[in-house]
Amino acid sequence: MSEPQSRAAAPAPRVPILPYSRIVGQEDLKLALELNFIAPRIGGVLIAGQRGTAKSTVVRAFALMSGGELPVTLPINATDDRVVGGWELDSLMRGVAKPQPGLLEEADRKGLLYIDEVNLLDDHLVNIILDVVSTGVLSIQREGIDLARQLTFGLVGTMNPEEGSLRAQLLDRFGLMVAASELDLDERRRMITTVLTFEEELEAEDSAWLRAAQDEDDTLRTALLEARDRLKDIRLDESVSGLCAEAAELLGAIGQRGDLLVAKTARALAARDGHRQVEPDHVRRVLPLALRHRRPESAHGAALTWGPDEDDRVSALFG
Amino acid sequence: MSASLPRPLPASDADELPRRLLTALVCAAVEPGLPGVLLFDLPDAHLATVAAVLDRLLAGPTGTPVPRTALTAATTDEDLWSRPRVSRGPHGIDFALDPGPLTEPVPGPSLVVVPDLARLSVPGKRAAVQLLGADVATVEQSGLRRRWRPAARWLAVCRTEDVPRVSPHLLDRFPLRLTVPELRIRPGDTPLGPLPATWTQALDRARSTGPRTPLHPADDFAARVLELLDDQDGTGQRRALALSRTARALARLDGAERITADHAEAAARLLRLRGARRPSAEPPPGPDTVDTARAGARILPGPWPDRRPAPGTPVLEPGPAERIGSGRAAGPWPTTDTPYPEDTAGPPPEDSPLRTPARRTTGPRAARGPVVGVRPARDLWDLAPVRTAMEAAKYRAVRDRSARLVILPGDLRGYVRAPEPVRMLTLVLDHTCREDWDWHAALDPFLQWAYVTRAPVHVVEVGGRGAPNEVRAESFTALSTRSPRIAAALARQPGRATPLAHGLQLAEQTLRRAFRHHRAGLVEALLVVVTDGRGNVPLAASRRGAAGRGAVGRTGIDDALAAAGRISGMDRTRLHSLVIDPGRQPYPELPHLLAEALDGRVVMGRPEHEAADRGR
Repeated sequence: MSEPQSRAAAPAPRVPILPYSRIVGQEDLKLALELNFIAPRIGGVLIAGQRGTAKSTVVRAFALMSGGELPVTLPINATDDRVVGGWELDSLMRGVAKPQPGLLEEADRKGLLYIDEVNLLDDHLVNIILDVVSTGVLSIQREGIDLARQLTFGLVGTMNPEEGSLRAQLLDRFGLMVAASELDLDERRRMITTVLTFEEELEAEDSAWLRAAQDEDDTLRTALLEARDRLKDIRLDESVSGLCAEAAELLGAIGQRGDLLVAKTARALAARDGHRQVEPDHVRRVLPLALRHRRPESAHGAALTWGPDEDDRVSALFG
Repeated sequence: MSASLPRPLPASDADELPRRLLTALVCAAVEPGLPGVLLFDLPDAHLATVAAVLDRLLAGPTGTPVPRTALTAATTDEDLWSRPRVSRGPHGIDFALDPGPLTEPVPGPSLVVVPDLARLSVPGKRAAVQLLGADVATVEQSGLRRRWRPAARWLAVCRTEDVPRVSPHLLDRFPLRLTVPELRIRPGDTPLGPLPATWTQALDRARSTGPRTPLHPADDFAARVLELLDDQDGTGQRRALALSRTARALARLDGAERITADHAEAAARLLRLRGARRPSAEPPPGPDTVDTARAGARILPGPWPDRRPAPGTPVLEPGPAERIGSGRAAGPWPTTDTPYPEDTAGPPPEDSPLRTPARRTTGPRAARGPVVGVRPARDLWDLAPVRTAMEAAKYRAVRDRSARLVILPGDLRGYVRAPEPVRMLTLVLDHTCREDWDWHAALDPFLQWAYVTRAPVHVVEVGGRGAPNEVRAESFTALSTRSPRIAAALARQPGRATPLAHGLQLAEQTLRRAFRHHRAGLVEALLVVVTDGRGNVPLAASRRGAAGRGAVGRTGIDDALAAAGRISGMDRTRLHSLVIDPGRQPYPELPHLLAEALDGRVVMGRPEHEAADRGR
């Protein structure tokens, strides 16, 4: 996979998205996105949450902070030629056959494909995406195009569970899953003030508030890039990797992907926190992110919850 | 702050409605963060007038109307995102693809009018969810790639009784909501009243593109907003932001230098939030108060009237009461004038209303539904001629230098039609009535019917062990009786609670959805309810997701009968209902009462000698 983001400083964006450093609350959600950035092989994040929990805002703000541009976005009503690629229509009408890469190729270049309202995506688009992410190959034989390309990208999806669940195969393709949470009273107060202030500062000619937010975003971005550099040096002792497998088994995670995801995510967390090796606490912290959607109930369309029962079982293991 | 706040809403009588509505429309025009106005019960005759007022507010002094689009029940994706242009060219027909109305090709605000939100087509609803309040929007379609910041204002109408048919997810996208059933408009140029000069200036400032002085909230503003909202859990942040932005719009109209708690109060009065206008009538009943009139419960004559449990009598087996669910303090009951009617107890919204329902793609009925889109053709049936010609036109210059239109097999496009299953089985399984009874034999004939007729099976599980929330029923749809989920549901162990009323409501919404979406294609629907009728969870508790305080009494039963009554009002020529009675004691009459409410019949599930043995 190509490096999703370069180290060059991101240009100050003037798009109407709240700066990442100014987003109030949603710590789990931010953590999942940051860990996925540090270790892109985690493979993406699924964000589920009730209406109005700022899921999309957080994803877009993170993309702006980390890469300086909005994510490659697959809207739910995209046509399949825009997803897999086709011809540039205007050129074609003039008699010039000019290929137009699809969103999947663009996602390969930039590292991520963002699907808003992923559970509303039409089945035929889900099938296309599943084919590509599971084989790593985009194969097109249509409309005079005959090509096969190796593609790798992480999926980031947001969904409101009120509108239905996700197919088990697609669910499994998201490395991590996180539930966007409700804010407490103090956070809600701060959220209102922050959003109103941001919207006003956006209209101002020169805003010290936006500059300060941009500086904080830059600092965080540098820290995440440094953590990504440190990742290869993070040690995972045999005892801790055994703990990952044990936890996955205890929670009934389906398949081996769960064990691996716990280990990869725990390493990313250790890198983010500046540790040299993965500690049991890192494993414990990432278990809900990596295993919430890999339990047997999830595969049968049950609610993707993580409750006291799961916490009790994890506590029993970690002591 | 200047001396006087805008005073658009001093009284609640109908005379003030035009003023309130005008204020809301002006707020939507000056504040891009308030892109959606939802009017409950607006008389049909007034929609054109109200839309014209909003149009003028957005247009400004030039008076040039803003681009306007109407979305209806017949709206398809093809109408929204791209606009094919057919013209006569030097070599015959020429095609071009322009951006569609929702992609806002013309800079500046536009207006989207939805005359009936509850009956808006699925593509229209999905578009609303994608665009309303979005920071950025994206379209990726053949020949069209666009990313923009939505600036359109949406004006939608919905009848209060239709609210349960609209997804809360969609309702949540409308920040400004007013109930205007008795709106009276004036004849002449100012149907909602004259616009104050200061408001006109504020509208002009909003339209200007230059930098403007920031208008920041006062220190106590956010806290007052949250007090006024008096929010329930799980309603998200959009309501707080809607109230805050409405307050900011009023502050702009006021020419204020800061947004204050007074502006929040004025905004709350405009929207009729309860925190701003407490009703002075007697205290509203708590969620678990038995109010049969409001719950729509009906007392049905039964075969054993003497043995119906008396009000207040527990319906459970004797023994110590066990608390169900997490519990929650009794909260205020929303008034009917609330801008958020979806919070009140009532039939739940349609299941997954923004998804295209599952459908069969083979068989003669697959080609009968209404057109909902276009896709590459798989055969020569039901071709979409215009899209086929357009597809061929893309390659005309490349394929043939003489520019003749040559259609190749790959160009063929066929219609996508709405789902039309022929028959449907809805199975309500009350796990708590089963005990040691093997109910497979009783259910086999119905599953065989579904298998033979290839009917999809919708299963509603009531009181299953391990349910994510034991005071709520769960449901799923299996396209075939061979689905392992059906076998798993039939083998599920019982839990502690019996949310029968909620289960019947899930069944009701499924049937309603089937009748609505499949129209003439659904020739027969069978509803089979396996239960002893002893529902012990009131509907309000299921809606809250937590059991209330105090004895439940027969509220759960009454709510179940009320839900059954609503099902009985559906199409009697195509819907057949029956209750399978497990023969439990006491209260053997409850399944009969339920069947009567369903306008169906009772079938003994357990062999009669076995049931009699258990009764002794």
